[in-house]
Amino acid sequence: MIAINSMMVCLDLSEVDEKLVAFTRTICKLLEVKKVYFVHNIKIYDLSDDFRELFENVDLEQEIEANIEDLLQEQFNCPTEYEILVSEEPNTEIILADIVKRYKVELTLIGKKSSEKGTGSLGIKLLRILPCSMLVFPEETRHDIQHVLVPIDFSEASVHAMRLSKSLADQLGLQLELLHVYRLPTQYFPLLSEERAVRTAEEHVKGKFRTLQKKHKEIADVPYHFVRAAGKSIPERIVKHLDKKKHGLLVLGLKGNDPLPSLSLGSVPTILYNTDINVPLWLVYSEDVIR
Amino acid sequence: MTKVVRSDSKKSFGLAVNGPVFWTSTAFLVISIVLVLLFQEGAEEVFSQMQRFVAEKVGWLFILSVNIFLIFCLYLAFTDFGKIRLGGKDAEPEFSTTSWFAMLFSAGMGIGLLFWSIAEPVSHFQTPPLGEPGSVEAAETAMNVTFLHWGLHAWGIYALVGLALAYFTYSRNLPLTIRSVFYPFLGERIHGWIGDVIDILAVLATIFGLATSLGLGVKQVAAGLSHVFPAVANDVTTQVLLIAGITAVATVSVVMGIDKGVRFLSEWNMRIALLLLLAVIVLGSTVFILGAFVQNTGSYLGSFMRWSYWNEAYSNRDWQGGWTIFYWGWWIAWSPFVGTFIARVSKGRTVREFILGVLIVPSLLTFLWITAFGSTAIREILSGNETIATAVSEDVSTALFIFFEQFPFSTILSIIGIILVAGFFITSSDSGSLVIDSITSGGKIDSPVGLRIFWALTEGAIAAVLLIGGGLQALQTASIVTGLPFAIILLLMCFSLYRGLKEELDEENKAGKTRERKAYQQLVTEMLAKRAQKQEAKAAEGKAQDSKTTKPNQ
Repeated sequence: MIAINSMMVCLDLSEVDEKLVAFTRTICKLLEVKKVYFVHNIKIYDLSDDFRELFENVDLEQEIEANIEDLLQEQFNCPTEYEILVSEEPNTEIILADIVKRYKVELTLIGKKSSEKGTGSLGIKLLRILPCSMLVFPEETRHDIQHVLVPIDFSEASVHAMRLSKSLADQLGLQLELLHVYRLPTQYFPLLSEERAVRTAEEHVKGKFRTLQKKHKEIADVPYHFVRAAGKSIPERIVKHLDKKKHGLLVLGLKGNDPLPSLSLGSVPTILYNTDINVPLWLVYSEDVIR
Repeated sequence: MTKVVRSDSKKSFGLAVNGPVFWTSTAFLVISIVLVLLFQEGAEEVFSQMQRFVAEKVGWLFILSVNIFLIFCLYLAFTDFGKIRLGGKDAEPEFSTTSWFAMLFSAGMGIGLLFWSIAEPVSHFQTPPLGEPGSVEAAETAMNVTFLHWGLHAWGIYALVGLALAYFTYSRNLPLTIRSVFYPFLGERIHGWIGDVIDILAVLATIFGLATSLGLGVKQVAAGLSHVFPAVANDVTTQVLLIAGITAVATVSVVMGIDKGVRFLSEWNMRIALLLLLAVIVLGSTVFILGAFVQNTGSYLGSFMRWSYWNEAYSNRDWQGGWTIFYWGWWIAWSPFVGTFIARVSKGRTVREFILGVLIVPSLLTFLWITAFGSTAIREILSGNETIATAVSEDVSTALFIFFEQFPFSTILSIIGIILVAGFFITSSDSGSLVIDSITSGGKIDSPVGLRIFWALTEGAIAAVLLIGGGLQALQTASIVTGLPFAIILLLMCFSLYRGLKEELDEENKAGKTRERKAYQQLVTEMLAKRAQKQEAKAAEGKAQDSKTTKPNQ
């Protein structure tokens, strides 16, 4: 059973806000959310001098708060308790991290524009510093969340994400699917032919799934797939699978098995965040991993 | 105003080549070979004197330069520049990572490593740069210095040239030739005579380097063959036949192109090389090799700064000129060739992935190889077996095969060794030909087939002519001397690459920030307008209600 004591929703005053609030309402109705913080940080330095001069007498903080309140009245028709927080800090990620710590936020919901419209730099910074799970909601999103995809690399973090997804699927009656993207281990090269190396690697992956199912009995009947990276990166393979199967939610552990994430890939969550996928991305933060 | 014609769009006598570079290089080659053949001894003496002069007077510049190249590469890898993808955001790697490593290793080092992995550590052990010869301390020093010569600095040179070429070719759409790297300095003038001069220098350094390596290399292969199979005579006929065979296979590979020819052969080279390495580790003193690998790598890293900047300043000896400075000159002279080849196969990699991939993986593999062969040889000498030491002193080319004699299945190991030597020769030759094709065609990524055949055959012919007529050593020395002008070109290249990458990063950051700022201001403006409208509407509504409630009393 998934229960969220405290949730933060990051608003940026764009059209996405409306969708984010509606999505928050859905989450609050489906899961037990105790309190939601709707947050906006005014990027005062992004406003030109002319602009600031022109609206000198306007209390921007108050106007924005009222604007969010109006939006919530229209879209957030829900008994869950909420609070609006508007700040004016030079570094948005710092103030958001501070809110997460201060209000013990467990889940942060953030909107995501397509790469043509935004740099996504704030999201990447949040991924690095927020000590909580993140739910990334793309501007263009498939609303039908029936199928959930959980890519796993058998790390502690990915297994944690898998178990959380299983609870979610049971709670909401969703279809869950596990995916593992494997590479041919370098020790097979050059002693085995490629065909044999693939067979051996697949047997190895199957064995890992069997062990996982033995250890976590609740996922015994969850279907799993494995695909070979074969010249593509792991995120590219995940996205390909996602498109093929029309999943509505992608769940990932926030710290995987990649020992050198910055060498070639960046981390898988970071790359997936930067990719234009049109399904929500739930990046599960595991305290165990951090500890 | 005269129209600028890109070097890769130029034609000469109906051939798809950049005339000034192709014909001048060819003429220079012919003249140089004729002169070297005519004045063999004199030429050798002149070039040797030049090399000595370079080592004595500007050795410090080489040492400083290679360190600057390495630091610069690491700086690019670990800063925001590392995120830039060669060929643009959406570019995808053309080759799998395994093939990529195989190709850059085969082109960059393969052949030299086979001969020098035993001879060099043994030589340093017997004549160390510092300390008592033949001691345990000398053994450690020998491995440190060999790692220095074959490790991060050497690959740093290749990484720099390769990255600069790949960036300007794939991200700036310039021709794949050295001239393109100077675009931030020279602008469109790179397509003029200055660019031609740079490319001619690159062609000459590459072809002389390749032809002399091929010539000197087949001498070693023939010596090895003769050692393993005494029926095979170690004479010029065998050597020329070997050149013909290697050139024939390299020509076929070049004609088939990178994907079908060079990649295929490089992958097989790597397979055979790993098999041989594994055999030496398993059949030899496995625990010793693994322990020595850990110790050698740690010792290399621990003494990294000391040896990287060591300049023989307080010694009267000239040890460094014959080794470290020779290597730096050699790697730099080879860098146009290896760099262009690495660039050719690296589209779609990020700067970080490129630099760390080129620096770390080949270096680690090289260290393991040198440990398995070199440390084992030194151990034999320390335990009183002088066979390998004698072989190194008498004839370096037989050292590998005498080394194998200390192992079970020595004949099989020797045959695998000969196949590998030939394989590495072929991959050096075919990748080198592709590079020269690319430069002389003005920077075409896929150069005309006729040109490929021409350069592959020319390379073999030059090697054979010099082998028969003499003068290989003289030309090799000459090509190392070209390392000096190239060291200066490479220093400029650092600056040029930095400017190019910074421009891109700045533009990207500026565009992103401006877009975000504008968008945010727009959002705030719209929000305020919406609020004002709402308030107006509310006020109007309030007014209307007021007038409704006040009417009945009137």
